[in-house]
Amino acid sequence: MACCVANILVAGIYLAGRPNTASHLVYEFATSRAHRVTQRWVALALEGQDDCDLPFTVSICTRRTPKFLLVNELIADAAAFDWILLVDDDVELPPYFVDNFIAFADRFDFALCQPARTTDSYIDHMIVMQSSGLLARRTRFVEIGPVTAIRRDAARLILPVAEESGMGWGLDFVWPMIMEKAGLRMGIVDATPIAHRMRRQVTGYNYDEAARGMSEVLATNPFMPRDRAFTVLETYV
Amino acid sequence: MPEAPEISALLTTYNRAHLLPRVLAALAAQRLGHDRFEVIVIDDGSTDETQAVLSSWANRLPMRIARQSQSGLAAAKNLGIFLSRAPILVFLDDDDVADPNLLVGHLAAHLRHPDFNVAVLGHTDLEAEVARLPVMRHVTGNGGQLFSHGWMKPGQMLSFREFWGGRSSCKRSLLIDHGVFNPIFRFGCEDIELAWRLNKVGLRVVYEPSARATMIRGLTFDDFCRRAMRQGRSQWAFATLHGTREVREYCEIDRALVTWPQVKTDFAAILRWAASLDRMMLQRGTSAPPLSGATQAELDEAYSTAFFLCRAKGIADAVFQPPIFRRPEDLPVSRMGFLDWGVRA
Repeated sequence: MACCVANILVAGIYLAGRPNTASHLVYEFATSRAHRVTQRWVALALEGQDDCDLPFTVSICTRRTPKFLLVNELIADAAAFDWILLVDDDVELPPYFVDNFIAFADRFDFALCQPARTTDSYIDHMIVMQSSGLLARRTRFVEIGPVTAIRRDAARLILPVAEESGMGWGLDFVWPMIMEKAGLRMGIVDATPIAHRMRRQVTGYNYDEAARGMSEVLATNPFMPRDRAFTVLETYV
Repeated sequence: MPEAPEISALLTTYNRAHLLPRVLAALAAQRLGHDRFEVIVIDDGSTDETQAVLSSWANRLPMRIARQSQSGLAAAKNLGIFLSRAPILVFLDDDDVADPNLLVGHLAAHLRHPDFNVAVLGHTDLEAEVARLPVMRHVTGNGGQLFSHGWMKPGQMLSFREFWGGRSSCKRSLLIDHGVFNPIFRFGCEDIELAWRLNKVGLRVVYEPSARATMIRGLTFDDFCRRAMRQGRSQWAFATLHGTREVREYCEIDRALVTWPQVKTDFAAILRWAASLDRMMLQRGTSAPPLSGATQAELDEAYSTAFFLCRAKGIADAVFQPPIFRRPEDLPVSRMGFLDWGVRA
């Protein structure tokens, strides 16, 4: 798989008029030498339509909208791609990120994975913090954001995201059940860490709404409890 | 290996192949059944025969082995936390030999104290040969620079300050939900820095002397000086990271920064003086009569002064080093620095 040129769809939403790293992300994803990368970005312009001119902006949304309604529109043709990368607008990527990251995902046969986060990042679930002595870990948890990579076979199982899941909270505890049942592997790639230090989680949306969405998600889907989900199964050095 | 062990023993190691057989044999001889615990060894990039030794023990213990490129103690412990499957985690050092009751002692204490925020501190003795070293007697006795249990009573509830690395256990959920080790601490302070953060959720530590181990590696005076300098650097990082008066006082930052400029020209001479006393005590041997109170006090003072000044040097050196960490709040948006990642032209 590592020798193949992959069709990769990068889907993201950026908060127009607020500090973000979207231009950096657009640049980094555009510099892939190994793969064909298609980028689609939605500008979320709640305070006027300034700063909505980022390349690959496919639409401008002027009303507060559940994140995954917008994401689902961007990835409506997900089946046409080998990988879907869901990307937040406040992360920093290392150079050559997408080529290196996908190479590791292929090498370790991860169908659902994400880059680890640098130690100076804002982190909710500590398992995603970079383990700098490793290349990658096979895990039972991949967080829904800030960068989540979904391979074609996993995308068939978990995309599109159910509309009622709103911000998507809780899906990351449902995904391991789906993935393990399908015999697919999840992992965190430590060798290509990203920094998430621009703003804390839950600064761009309503916490209570997101939490309510999470309880709905967990009540309606089989999920893996936290203590089991936050487990490393294998390490790669 | 059992599906769900009751306690996970996390053994972090680096270049201690010569000690590991005794350490592992002691774990194999635990009173607790092999189906009730697991040993997770994290080899922090050893360059000696560690891997071969571990492999030779793989079938004699319920053990899993993970290797990482050398990243330091905190990173190794974190990896162990996430590899573990039991609800109770006990952190072990690679130069301590467990008493057969060690895991039972930790497990029983947690059964008595099921609250998520109660940790357990076991007891560490010195092997007889190690205890004969004057410097080891000092640091575990009057000096109190290493584990020093003399003032503790069995079952005593202690504060977060006694969440000592290599001899404590806690609930996995405490760490998973409330914080793991900060990997910037490659040596020293990784335990107290985590305990400081866990104190916010009420971390308490109960002393359980039946959970006993014996340290089998003696450190020399020079070893302790080097160790103290590294601790000084970590203490500076700890104090800078949290920036509170309590942490600065705990780490003696201000005392160190005031003292160091005054004594740095005499530093080498002071170390030579303490080292000469240490040599004299070694030559004197253990068969000689005990030292008089005044002489013992002078020896303790010499050791304490030397080790404090080494820590002070570590702190003072660290002040002029680039920070080994950055906090998100230290990064104004204007520095949202793609330069950090070296964006290409």
